[in-house]
Amino acid sequence: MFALLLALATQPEAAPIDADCGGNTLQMVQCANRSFDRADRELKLVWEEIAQALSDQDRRLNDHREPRLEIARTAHEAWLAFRDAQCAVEADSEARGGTMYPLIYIGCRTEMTRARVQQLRPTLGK
Amino acid sequence: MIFASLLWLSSIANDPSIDCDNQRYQVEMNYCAGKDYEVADVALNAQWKRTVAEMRERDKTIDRRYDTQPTHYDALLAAQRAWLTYRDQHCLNEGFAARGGSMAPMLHGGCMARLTKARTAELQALVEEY
Repeated sequence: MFALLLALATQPEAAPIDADCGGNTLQMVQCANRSFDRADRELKLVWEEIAQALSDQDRRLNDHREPRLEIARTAHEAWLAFRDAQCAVEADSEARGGTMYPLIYIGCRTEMTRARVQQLRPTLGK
Repeated sequence: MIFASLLWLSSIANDPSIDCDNQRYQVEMNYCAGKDYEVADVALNAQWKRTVAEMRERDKTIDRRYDTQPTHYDALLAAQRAWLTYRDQHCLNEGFAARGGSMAPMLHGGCMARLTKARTAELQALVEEY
C-alpha cells in the first residue's frame, strides 16, 4: 500500500486521491464516495438553477425553436457520460487491475464534478 | 457536425482581406472564431493519433487470462465519443445565448475552439503524465 502511494506520488499531476481520506483501502473508498456525493449534490443544485433560468427564458422567447433548456440538458447529460468515460481512461492509465483503481476513478469524478460546478456557476441565468 | 461546420465556414472561406490580429467588425470576429476552431481541430486530430498509438502500445501488455476489462483504446474511444457529443451540444447552447443575433457564430466558434484546445491538452496529458 505504501509502495503504491509512493509510486503514485512520483507521477506528476496524477489524478488526485482525496487527501482527507485515510485508513484501509475500504475506508478510503467509502470516504472518497462521500466526497463525490457532496460534489454531485452541489452540481445537481447548480444545474437545477440553470434549468429553471433557461425554462423561464424559453417561455419569454416563445419562438417555436428548439427550447434552450432541452439543448442544455442534452449537453449536461453528455458531460456526465464524458466524465465517467474519461475517468475510466485515467484510472486505467494509472492503476489498471490494481487496488487503487476505485480510489483514482472516484477521485477523478469528484475533481471533474467540482470543476464543472465552478465552470457552470458564472453562467447562471445567462 | 464537422461537415456542417465546414460548410458553414466555407460560406466565408479564406478571405485574405480579414486580419484576425486586428478584428473590427462582427463579421470579422465570426470569421476569425471559425478559423481559430479550424486550427484547433487540426491540432486535436494530430494529438488524437499520438494518444491512440500510446493506448495501443499499452494494450499489448494486457493479459487476457486475468483482465477482462475493455482495452485502453476502447476506453479512450468511448471517452472521445462522449466528449464530442458534449462539445457539440454545449457549444450549440453557448451560441444560442445570442440566438439569431449577429454574435451567435462568434460565440459558437469561440466555444468550439476553446473546448477543442482543452481536450487536446487532456489527450496529451494521457500520454505524458502516466
